[in-house]
Amino acid sequence: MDKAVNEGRVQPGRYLVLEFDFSSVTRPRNIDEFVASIKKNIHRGLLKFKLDYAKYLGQSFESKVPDVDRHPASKLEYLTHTVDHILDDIHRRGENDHPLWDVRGV
Amino acid sequence: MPAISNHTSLCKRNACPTSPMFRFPSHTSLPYRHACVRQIPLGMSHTGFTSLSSSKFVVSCRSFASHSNSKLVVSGELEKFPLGIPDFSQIRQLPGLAYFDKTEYIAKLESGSTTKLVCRPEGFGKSLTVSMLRHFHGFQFRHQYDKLFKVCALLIQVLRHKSLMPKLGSRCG
Repeated sequence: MDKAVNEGRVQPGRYLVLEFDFSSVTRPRNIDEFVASIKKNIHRGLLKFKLDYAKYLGQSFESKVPDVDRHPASKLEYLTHTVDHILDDIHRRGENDHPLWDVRGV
Repeated sequence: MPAISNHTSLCKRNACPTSPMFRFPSHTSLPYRHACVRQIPLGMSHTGFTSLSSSKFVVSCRSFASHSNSKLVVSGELEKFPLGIPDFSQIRQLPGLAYFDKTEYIAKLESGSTTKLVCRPEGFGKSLTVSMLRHFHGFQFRHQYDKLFKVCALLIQVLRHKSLMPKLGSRCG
């Protein structure tokens, strides 16, 4: 592992990890209940992402991405785009001392 | 879960980096898990590595399968395999827990297709592997890299350098 890191083939801590654990999704016969369970799970993953990284991404991220959303899929898309814009801005401003400078994305 | 009868079938089924199957050393009271293939040559050292790890001592060994990059790693005295604990950080830092170290697969996973699908039954270490990847790639864990990942590789190097691995392997294997 160290060899790969030293050779630069892989570097630790270069991503903001967005994780979903669908093993806890319930499987009811009713499709609406199933969809609600999936949505709840996606929402939980997005909320955890926000809790983990809001302090690094700044207040603009926290204010732009709401905690509760009726459509978690669109919120997922919005969240990833927002993070991309924030990371792009850091590079555009040339802030190479910013902690997220070498982060590659979500 | 059907038992696997021999090593060849194991290789075919275990193509993805999930937990290899193994038999516990006879001196432990732990039950068999999944299938018996071959006893792991377990290398042990009870002194001399406290500078590398906060635990009292470390037991480490090479995996039994030459095709695999997995290593059996134990922090402290072997107490149990943490079945059902998928938190990599917890397993690495609590003493007495053994796990199959798959950190060498991280670099391999960088190549190939961008989407990986690992299909294995419950208890094969999928969640633990995901947790390990999260702790490696996650920005918030970058300062824990030395503590969580570097110790494993250093120990293996020290064991090899001091020629402890062959002796210890023959003692237990």
